[in-house]
Amino acid sequence: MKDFLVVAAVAAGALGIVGGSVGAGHDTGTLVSPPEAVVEQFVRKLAGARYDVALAHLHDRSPAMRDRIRTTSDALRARAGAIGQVEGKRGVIDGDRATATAIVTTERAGDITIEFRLIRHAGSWRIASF
Amino acid sequence: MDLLRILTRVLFAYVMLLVMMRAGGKRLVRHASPLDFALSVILGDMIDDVLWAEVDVSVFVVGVGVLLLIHIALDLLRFRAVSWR
Repeated sequence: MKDFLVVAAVAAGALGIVGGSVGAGHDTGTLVSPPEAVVEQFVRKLAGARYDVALAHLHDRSPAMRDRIRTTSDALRARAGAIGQVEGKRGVIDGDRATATAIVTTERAGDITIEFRLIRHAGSWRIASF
Repeated sequence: MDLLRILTRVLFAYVMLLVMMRAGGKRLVRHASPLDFALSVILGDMIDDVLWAEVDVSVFVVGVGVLLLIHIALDLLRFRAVSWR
């Protein structure tokens, strides 16, 4: 029983440190995923047609947005063929807003660059528009 | 990605895992059950995501914490079931 309580206390303490770092310390990329990592993950999920998982990276998770990412993903794969590599590049961070770019290396269309705007929501970066 | 950020994540994740695994009670491989081994493999996979910032550290903490708590709770239940026999 003691082990159980110690693990729960360590987890709570670690969450407290993360919360303090993100809330009070305004951490935007050390203990939270930075904007470039978020857009890279998002595009990788789009490339794999994993729409529901990709939706978790968006600020607006409405059905309309879900349809939009499905359309974007289909268009990307139709245009590009096989997607070889995705790389996120950092843009500008200005308070709770940021920009980032994803460079998609494709078989047919060469490198495709997608620009993203992000908003910080509850400490985590979410994609607002692309 | 900044090396300092990677270093911070590595230190944070390693210290957290170390403390939690020590708290879990089993320190030697020969004391481990197959389920302990499965848990180690799962934790080893999870740490990769946090080192490359693919998930927030808070997600990692919750994931590791919940897994270890379930593991310890199952151990406790097994121990009690054996002592009741």
